[in-house]
Amino acid sequence: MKRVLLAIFYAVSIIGCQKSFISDDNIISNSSSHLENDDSENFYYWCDGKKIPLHINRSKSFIVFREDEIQKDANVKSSNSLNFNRDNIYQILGIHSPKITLNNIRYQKQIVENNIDSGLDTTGIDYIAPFFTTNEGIGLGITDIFSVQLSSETDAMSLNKIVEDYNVELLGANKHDPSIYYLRCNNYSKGNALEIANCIYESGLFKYATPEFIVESFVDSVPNDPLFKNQWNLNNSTNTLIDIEYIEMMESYTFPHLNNVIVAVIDSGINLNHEDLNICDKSFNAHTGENISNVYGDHGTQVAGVIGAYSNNNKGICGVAPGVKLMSISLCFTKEAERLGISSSTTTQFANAIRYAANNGAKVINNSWSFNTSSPIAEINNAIIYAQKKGCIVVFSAGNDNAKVSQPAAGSPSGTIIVGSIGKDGYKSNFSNYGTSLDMCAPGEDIMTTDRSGGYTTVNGTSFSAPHVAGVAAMLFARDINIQSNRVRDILEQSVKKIGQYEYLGQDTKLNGPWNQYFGYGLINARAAMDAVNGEGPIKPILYSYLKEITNNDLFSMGLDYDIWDKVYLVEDGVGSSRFMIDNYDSSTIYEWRSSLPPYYGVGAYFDVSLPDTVLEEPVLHEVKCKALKNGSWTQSGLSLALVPYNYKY
Amino acid sequence: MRIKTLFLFALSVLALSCKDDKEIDNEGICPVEPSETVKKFFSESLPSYSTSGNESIFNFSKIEYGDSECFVVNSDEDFKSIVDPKIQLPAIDFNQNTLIVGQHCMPNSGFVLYSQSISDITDTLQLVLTYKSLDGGSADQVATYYFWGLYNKLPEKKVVLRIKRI
Repeated sequence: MKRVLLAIFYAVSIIGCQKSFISDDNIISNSSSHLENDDSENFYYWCDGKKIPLHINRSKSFIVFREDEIQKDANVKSSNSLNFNRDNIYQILGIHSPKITLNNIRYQKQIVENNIDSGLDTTGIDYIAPFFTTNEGIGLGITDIFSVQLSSETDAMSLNKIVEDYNVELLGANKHDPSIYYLRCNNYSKGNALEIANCIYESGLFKYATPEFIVESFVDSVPNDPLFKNQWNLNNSTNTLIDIEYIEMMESYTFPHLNNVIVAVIDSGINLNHEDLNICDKSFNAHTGENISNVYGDHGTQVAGVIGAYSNNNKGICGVAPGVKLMSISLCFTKEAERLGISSSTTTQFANAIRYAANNGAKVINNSWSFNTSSPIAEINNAIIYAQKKGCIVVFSAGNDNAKVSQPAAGSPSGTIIVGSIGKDGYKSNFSNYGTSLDMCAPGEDIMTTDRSGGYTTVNGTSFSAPHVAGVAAMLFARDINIQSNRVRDILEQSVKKIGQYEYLGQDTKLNGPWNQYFGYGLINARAAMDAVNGEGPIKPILYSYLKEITNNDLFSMGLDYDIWDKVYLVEDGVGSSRFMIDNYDSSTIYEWRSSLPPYYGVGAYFDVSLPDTVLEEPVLHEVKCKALKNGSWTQSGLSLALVPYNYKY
Repeated sequence: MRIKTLFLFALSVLALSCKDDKEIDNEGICPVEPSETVKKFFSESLPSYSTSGNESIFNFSKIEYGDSECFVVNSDEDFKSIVDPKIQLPAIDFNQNTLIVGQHCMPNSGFVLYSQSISDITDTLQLVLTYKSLDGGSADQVATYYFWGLYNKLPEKKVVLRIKRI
């Protein structure tokens, strides 16, 4: 408890002392209101070049203790406690080649409540920052970490200046994007992470500078959204085996990039004014080509709520990726067209919707719709390939006919994630489509969500299963903004729960583990997916797969697992053959396939890589070559790829 | 031989020209034409479908995909019992007619009711609802479809629903 008092003392001291960073500081008052005065002028962070206002919340603080210097104090009342050592920090942030020596100091991060009695104990406090609330009422803790992105590689010297000027530690560069660096504040730094990040961004020397946030909704066990109690899909208390482990994900992880992730909802249009949704600035009416979406029907807002309704805002429901930016791309479905007396959207307009999403920053594209046709729709498939090449995850619902997966999902290119529905009891929904195209399943019965009128409703269908997967995909990006989309797909498909009464078996065409036709790989598992990003959990080291068009005498790239696979995509009907070589070992086996239906892709071949059956301690580079035959002529390409042991920590 | 061939050809053309889709689907007892008042009442009180629960004035149960519910109404009392009591009901001569009102689920809202008919099959009446798929994209949201039909007085038998899609 003494430590908590100290926290308040520190918070007041630090904020009071930092007028050089935050002008006109007026937070020292006796008011107990969380949103007192208009302090949003003073407290803010930068996101996409815009000032996002914050309101100070005096009832809490964010503190980091050094575990080696404190004894356990049972009186510290915290709503969350996160244990880190530096290894963990590097791993969580995706930091490569840290610039400082690992010293195995363990840190404990806590959001503490400021209900103090008396006494002071300064032992072990390494960092303290005030706690904030956003305009939407979401609590934000500012951790001791902040990141900056260099404008150019030659600006690396500026980092040293930051370290000196603000007395902070340089932790290292992001392993995926070396232009992003992570830094850490402590008691001796000249400000907390928010203050320093703002100053750095406002200097104009960096592309961005942002503190790492811990969002309160992620640390409270159960969100305060009043309808959350009806959301069995996020917290299946009656059957925990069929739970998607949403709460566990929120409790275990932070999502520093949530504000930078956009999920496109290609649908009937979202109510852009729904108070429980965070709507992206960009929207599009693919039916008319106008740069603002329309609301043709109820469905779009319903799908959007499942993906991204705010959590812990004391309103309505909670989304899988709470507060993620939702890009509304509207189309006119058949029934709405009939009601409105206009023509329904064409396949070209659907394809344009997907392309718009890909061109305008969407990381995930949700498609909860289908066409009444049994043939693949080439135009839409081309758009999906376009989006996948831009790094988007494309998710489709399986359809509701209790039959084979609907089109265009069924005939969509490899890499599209097709989602079926289950009910609360873990059985396949009696409407949910199934079959070889199905990838995974998610709740799709009695799903409470936002509605077009601004309120809430309960709905059914695979339309609402797909958004669960889209939401978890968004959270993977929110955790690691630089993660590759094919890695996201592999993680989603490998981290599932093998539920249900049907046997899961290995399939030649299903690379991510045992599978069955009613559940696909299994039930989406939000917590396990996040574990996988951190290198925890039962995720195999998957090498990235590629999809590339080939024409005559041109070559394709390949996707790799422990088994070497190629996923071949031809631009026209034809016969293809392939053969692999790894580390100069030639498989000598020629695999042939024929594909006569658009999009002309198929599994071409695979062979087991004869790697020693040992645990890899370090990433190992292999040279992989592939020969391909298309209508008569051989060509060749080389590719160097790494096998990375799972659990490997940089 | 030539005359015979021509005759067969003419016969088949005649047969095709007489057989439209509607006739194919309406192999049974078709509903009678209701009064304007009855038509207005149903158009205002019974939507063709709903995606978020019962939005009608009728006392429908909550059903799941694959289930259906059918009210067979043969008297004013029957009629009152299936509707919110505050509602003013249109006059129907139940001495001459049987009213059928019901609900069932469809995979999405991309269907329109094309025709309906009843077949008398020994101990049950089979109500066949034929739906036409609309061209284009549809949201993958399960929709509850509502239906009604006024028939000449039907025998008191259980009604079994059969859904056809064309």
